[in-house]
Amino acid sequence: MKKILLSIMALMVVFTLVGCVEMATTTTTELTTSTTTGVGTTTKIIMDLPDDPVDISFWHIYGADKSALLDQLIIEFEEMYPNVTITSTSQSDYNTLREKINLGISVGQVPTMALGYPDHFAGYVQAGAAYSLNNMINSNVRYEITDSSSSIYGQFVDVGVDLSDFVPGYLAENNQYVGGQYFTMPYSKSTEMMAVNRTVLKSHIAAIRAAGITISDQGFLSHTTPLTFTQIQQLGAIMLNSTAVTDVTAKKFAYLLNYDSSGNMFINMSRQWKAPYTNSAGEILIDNPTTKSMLNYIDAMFKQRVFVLPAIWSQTYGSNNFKYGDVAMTVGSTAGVLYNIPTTKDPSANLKFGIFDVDFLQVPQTATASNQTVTLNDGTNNYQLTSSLSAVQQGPNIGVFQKASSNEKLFAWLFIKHLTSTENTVRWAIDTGYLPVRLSAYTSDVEVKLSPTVSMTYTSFMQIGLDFWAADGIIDWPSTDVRRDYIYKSMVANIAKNQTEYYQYDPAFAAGSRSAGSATVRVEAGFCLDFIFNKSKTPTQALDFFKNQVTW
Amino acid sequence: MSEVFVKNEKSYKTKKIISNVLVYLFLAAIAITILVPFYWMLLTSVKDAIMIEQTPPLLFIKPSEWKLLNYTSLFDLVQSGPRRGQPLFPFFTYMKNTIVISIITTIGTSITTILAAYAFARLNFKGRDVVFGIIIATMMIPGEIFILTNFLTVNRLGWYDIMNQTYMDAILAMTLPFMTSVFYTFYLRQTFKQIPNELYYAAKVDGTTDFKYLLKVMIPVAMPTIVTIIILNSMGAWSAYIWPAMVTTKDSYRLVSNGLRGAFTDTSTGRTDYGQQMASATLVTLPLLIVFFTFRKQIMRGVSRSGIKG
Repeated sequence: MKKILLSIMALMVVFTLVGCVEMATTTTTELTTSTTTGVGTTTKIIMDLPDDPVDISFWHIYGADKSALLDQLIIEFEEMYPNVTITSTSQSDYNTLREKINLGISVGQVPTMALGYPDHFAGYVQAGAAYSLNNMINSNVRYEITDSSSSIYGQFVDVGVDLSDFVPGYLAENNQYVGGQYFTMPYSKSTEMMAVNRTVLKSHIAAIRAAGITISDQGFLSHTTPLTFTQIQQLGAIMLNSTAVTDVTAKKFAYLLNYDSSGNMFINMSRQWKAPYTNSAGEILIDNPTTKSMLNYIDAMFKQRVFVLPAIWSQTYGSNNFKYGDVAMTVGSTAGVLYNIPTTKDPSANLKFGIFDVDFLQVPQTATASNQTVTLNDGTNNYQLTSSLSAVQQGPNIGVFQKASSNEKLFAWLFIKHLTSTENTVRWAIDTGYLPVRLSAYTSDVEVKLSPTVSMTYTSFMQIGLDFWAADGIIDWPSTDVRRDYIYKSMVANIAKNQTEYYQYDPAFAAGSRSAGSATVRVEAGFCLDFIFNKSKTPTQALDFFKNQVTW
Repeated sequence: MSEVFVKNEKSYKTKKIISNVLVYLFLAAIAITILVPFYWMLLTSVKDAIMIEQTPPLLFIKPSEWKLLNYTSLFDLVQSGPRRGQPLFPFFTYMKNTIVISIITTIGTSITTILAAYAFARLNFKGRDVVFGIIIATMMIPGEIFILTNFLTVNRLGWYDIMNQTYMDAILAMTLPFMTSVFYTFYLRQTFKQIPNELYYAAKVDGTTDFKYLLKVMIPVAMPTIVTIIILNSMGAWSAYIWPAMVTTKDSYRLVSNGLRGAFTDTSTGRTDYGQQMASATLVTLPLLIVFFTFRKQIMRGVSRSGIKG
């Protein structure tokens, strides 16, 4: 009798736990076991993996350049789960991808899973079309692979995932939706970094040191501590020419610091100034004294040529003019690192400083730590603020749609786990220039093939930049040493890693009855700074215009 | 008297010269406005990345300095991964789809337009003008409004199935909603109405059917207008963008216009390779130019008769 009761109770426990994971066609083996993962002991329910054929459609925007690796990852996944077929389709650009999904939601024709920005998924969540991944993330189900044709035959696959291994800033962005649920997981992430003209910086070492800024003999500034805006202004006093023309002889620039994205500049500076911007509820909070002060400060910096936007050169990005010596520093995406490196392919007549050395730094901050009382001075006015370290995180995430069947959801989730595994996030990062989404990537000993003849771990990849900095840029690596090819990418990967602690995200929300969606607000934020920069509006007018554009 | 005449003639000649100069200046300005984008497309297609981003921009490049890499790289193959050996930019697949769509849409539109225009111009039936008025009124509704309803229709017909869409489904989804045109019907009806009724009555007396009369008399007489419709419609189908992007589920079903949109953009940074994009755009425009120059006389005749501009 006791045995029968125990069996019934065991069965009830199994069915209760299985019910949480929404399994449609599974066969369960009534077995409960304990396993040790990480620091604690968790109970795992071992089940047979569904073996019915499953077709998964995955929509993204990657062209042939990036989809080569993606296709390879898909093949590897299909070898692991032979009953699964993944059809990956590029929808050419993010707008088309979003519009097709939005249109498809109205007729119940959506892919199983898709790539998308947080504001895309905010819309899908609002329409009830996105699937919460929480059950999968927290699942204690473990599948035994019993298909002998599988590449992982005989192994066990956990459905759940250890979130503590993901970069916290990315997770915060991905669980910002209703009830703190994860409707997406981070996938192709990047951040911003600052490229600096080290050759010219080096020629001003004495003046820079006199200003109290630490700089190495070869012109390297700190890679672990960001420059403050006050220090940026000090560098401006040292490196800016008296007119908006670069003086090559005096090694003085027309402009000091370019921001590629005025939208990012507005949003990130708002975070750094602790100026309210928006929140997840879709409230527009820009009408506040701190934002007004920030805009006045930025306006003053534009006028003093300390800050500049690429529009001054009729460009979308400032990297060319950085190479041409029009500006000393430029803030742009980590994914675009090589655009900032002058080479022999550039027209020599345009390269005012020739082919110079480039270093990469963290984006400038109001202070070197958060919650400091800071006073910024634009030469006329003082601005009091409380500091907050902030760097933007950008790039799409990946999610699953509610319309999919239980098995499709399960395998779509396992595919997300596959794409974001330590090994594959490293492969993706090195191949594409995006950043790894897992912390374990930085200590991973998985060898990744960089070219047909070169393989290295992500740790070795990161070490290249560290070694270069440690040698103060004076390296005796042979010209055939492959590390030379990865110096810049490695430096940027290190900078990005150092910034992960203070990644902040832009709350995503769909357009509502009173205000625009977060994507539109971001665009208008950029326009606000553009208007100030081109002097068509004062900071007050630009802010009022911004407010009117996004609220009604 | 002769002095006055000479003076008037001089004044007339001066006015004529001034008028001609102004007219030609105006036409030159319009021609430049139209030609500059074409020139810029061609110029950008033979520049390398550095030349494209050069400030101030290069307005002319000697043929010896042309970079044809943008054209040759369009036909590069994928170097690694499962798609190794396949074209990096499936130009010929996109072109094939575009040609197929243009032909089907044009044939379909021509048939429906000719039949509808004939019915509204020649046949007498109750409520003809009211029906025609209602159809004309739909021209006031922007095309974008129809996207959702057309999408619902295509979906209900089973032509938009994300997992199982066939090439035929995609072709039908892309073409069927655009096989009618209110504007072309109106345009052709006006031409048909100019054909004297006597011809119709004479044909009827000879025992000709309406369909035979349409084929043997109306169509040949209105041929310049029909050719114009065919050309304008094929050009529209050639450059269709939003609808084909919405109703195709596989990359291999797309049109060249959709392929051009995202194929040359670095998805990590958002930067576009304008050189390759313009080289591809040039190749896409080439067939249209060939069609235009081949059928230049018919197009011009049709346009000049109706006063309609493409």
